[in-house]
Amino acid sequence: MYSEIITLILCAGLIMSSVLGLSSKKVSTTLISLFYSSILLGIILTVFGDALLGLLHMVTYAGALSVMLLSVILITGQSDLSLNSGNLIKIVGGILIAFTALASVFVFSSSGNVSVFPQDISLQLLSFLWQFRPWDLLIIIMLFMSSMLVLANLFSKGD
Amino acid sequence: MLIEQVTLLVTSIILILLGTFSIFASKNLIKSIMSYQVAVFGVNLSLFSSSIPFTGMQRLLGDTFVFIAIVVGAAVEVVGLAIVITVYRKFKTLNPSEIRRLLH
Repeated sequence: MYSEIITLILCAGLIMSSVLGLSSKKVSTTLISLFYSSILLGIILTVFGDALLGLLHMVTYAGALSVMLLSVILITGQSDLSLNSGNLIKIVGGILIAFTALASVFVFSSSGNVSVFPQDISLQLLSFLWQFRPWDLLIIIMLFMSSMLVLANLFSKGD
Repeated sequence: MLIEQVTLLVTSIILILLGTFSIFASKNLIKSIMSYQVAVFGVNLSLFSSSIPFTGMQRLLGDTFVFIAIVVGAAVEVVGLAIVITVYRKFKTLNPSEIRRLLH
């Protein structure tokens, strides 16, 4: 019963954020909505027992591709966001640091027991694989975090 | 589990239709790429939801498909962004109809 309600809420949030993002006139609003859509889809994958896929999805789409889209929007000048707005850089940097820190805590605190709806055999295999992946995942997260910070620093030098 | 799978499948169909419609309807190339990202979300969700009832190696096969879809979708989006920057440097606009007009 609870799982159905959680699934409905997550799917409704995913559809709403996508519709709001694609129907918006501003590209920056679309980017922010897609960021939340990526996180919601990662949460859905995690809740249904695939923590590795959920984390990969969040790191790839909400982390790397969002920053890349933001950089393209700033380069092409398609938004009202400005390269000289220091507050925006601080906000984006803070969100990225918080996200990567959360992902790091998530990696180390979950040794296969992260699924709300446990699957039997696949969960055992996933937990077996998961026990050997935290260090590799941490290195990947640190690489992503450093690249994002370098990108944010690159834009902040326009002040 | 059936209700959750149906919910995920309906959500994925809505996302795919929404993304596909928005790719053709948007007047900005960056927004078209964002619409493609929404369609990729739908594809990932449909692949994942189709592997939910299975266990063992079949479940792992479905997860592998989702993994490949995530990586390929991200790579295609990055290539699209590179093309967008190249088009902007050449035509100084991202409106598809205006780019088509400038080509002729």
